[in-house]
Amino acid sequence: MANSLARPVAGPHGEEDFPKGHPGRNDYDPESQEAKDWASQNVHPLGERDFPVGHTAAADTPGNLNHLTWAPGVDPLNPHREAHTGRTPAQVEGLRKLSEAASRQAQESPVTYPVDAAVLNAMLDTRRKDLGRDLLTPEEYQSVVRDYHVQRSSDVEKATEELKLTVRDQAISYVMSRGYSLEVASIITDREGPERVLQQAGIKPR
Amino acid sequence: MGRALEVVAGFATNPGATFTALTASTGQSFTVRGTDINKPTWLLSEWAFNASVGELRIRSPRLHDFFSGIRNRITAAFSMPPNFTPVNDSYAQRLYAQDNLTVELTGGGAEIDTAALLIGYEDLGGVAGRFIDVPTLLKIGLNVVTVEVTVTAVATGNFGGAVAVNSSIDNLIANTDYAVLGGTTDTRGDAVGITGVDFGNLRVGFPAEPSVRNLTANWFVQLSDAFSSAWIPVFNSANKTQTTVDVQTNGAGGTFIINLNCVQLLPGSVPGGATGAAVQAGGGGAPTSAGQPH
Repeated sequence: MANSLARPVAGPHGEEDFPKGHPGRNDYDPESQEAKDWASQNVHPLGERDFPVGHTAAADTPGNLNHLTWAPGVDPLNPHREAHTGRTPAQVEGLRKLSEAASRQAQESPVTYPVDAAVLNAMLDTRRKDLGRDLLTPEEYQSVVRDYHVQRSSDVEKATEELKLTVRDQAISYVMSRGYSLEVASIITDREGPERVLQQAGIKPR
Repeated sequence: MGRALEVVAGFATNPGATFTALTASTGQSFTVRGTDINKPTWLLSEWAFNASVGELRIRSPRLHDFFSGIRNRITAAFSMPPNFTPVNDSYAQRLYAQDNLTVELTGGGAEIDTAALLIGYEDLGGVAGRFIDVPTLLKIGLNVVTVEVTVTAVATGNFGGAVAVNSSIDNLIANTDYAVLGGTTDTRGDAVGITGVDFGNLRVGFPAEPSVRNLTANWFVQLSDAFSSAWIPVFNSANKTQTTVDVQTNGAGGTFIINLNCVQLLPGSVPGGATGAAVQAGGGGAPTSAGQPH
């Protein structure tokens, strides 16, 4: 079909109505080279072309990049470069060595013990007020954390002990995991016996 | 008692084709912490980082079955959840107090392969972290800020390289609460962890996957949204020197540049934080109202 976007050009006698070779011109000669060139540019059976002639993405445009595969993070014109970073192999190797050396020297993260954020934050605030500044040094911070654990240790032990599930609790917990409510699970556990429930489930009491 | 979120990661050395139980990272355990049996605990997500393709399997007699349980294919070098992904909507597996989860991996025959579970406690005894839900974030959120840190991971399969959130750029406003929406990494690993007093000293975290930023960048927001609960961690900048970021990865170790996407919150809106009343008022003159445009 004719490309309606083809624009007329300014000729020697002013603006022309249609470009050279266009069938709308009064001097249209279908056998002329200009008409053939215009047709090759603008007339195609419906659906034959993906893009106009000369378009950078048209399959017959010299130098188009349609054959390239755009994998995520990879520059297809520089596939040797590292994906997502664009680094050269030399850079990658240099960084790998540097990183390897750094990882050898890196420390594992310290183990932290769970705390109640509200309580410890209140204790930290008290220390901040005492010192008259907001930022505590690591030593000051750690001393508050130590105080927290000393003060809370008995409470934590008590809470841990309270939360430690009995054999009956474990059996009820298992029955609940099968979809029963706490009340029904309690009845089933008491009727069957907690040890039997756990044994049948293949669970060793903890 | 209060809410807690914990990423528990582990590793298997040279598992090959044999299901190998993971060794939990130092100080961590795959046993569910003790809670009141009436208080739900959830497996919110799971993921693995294998150099070679493998399988991640999670079993317990208290879950569906102890034969195969939750078993998912792990594609090589891609640290994303194969199940329990908070993208769009999801479904969390309920866990039970003191249940010793059997977490196993297969993978390469000459490598450390790694996996992580994200466990949410609605009410954990002796621990109370500070978390908000999405409506609260939208109501009290002020400005977006990025916390960027550089973490050098260890090559042992454990969490390592912990650095404070202000170690690279110290731009947080004094005595101000910040919500952590999620984060991104430039290097692939297993898990990025964030630990601090405000999270009850437990490690919250997200997958260290650099290529799927639309999931990790707002990981905690998506968790909260998917599970209709408060899983967005909040920390106060008064604790910035003791709020740390670390990484768990395989035997390659590596240097990770981590961006935590944070939102400054209206002062005093999230309970349990530092009052910051020692010297400077919270937020350094922050406005008294906030929220997203409507």
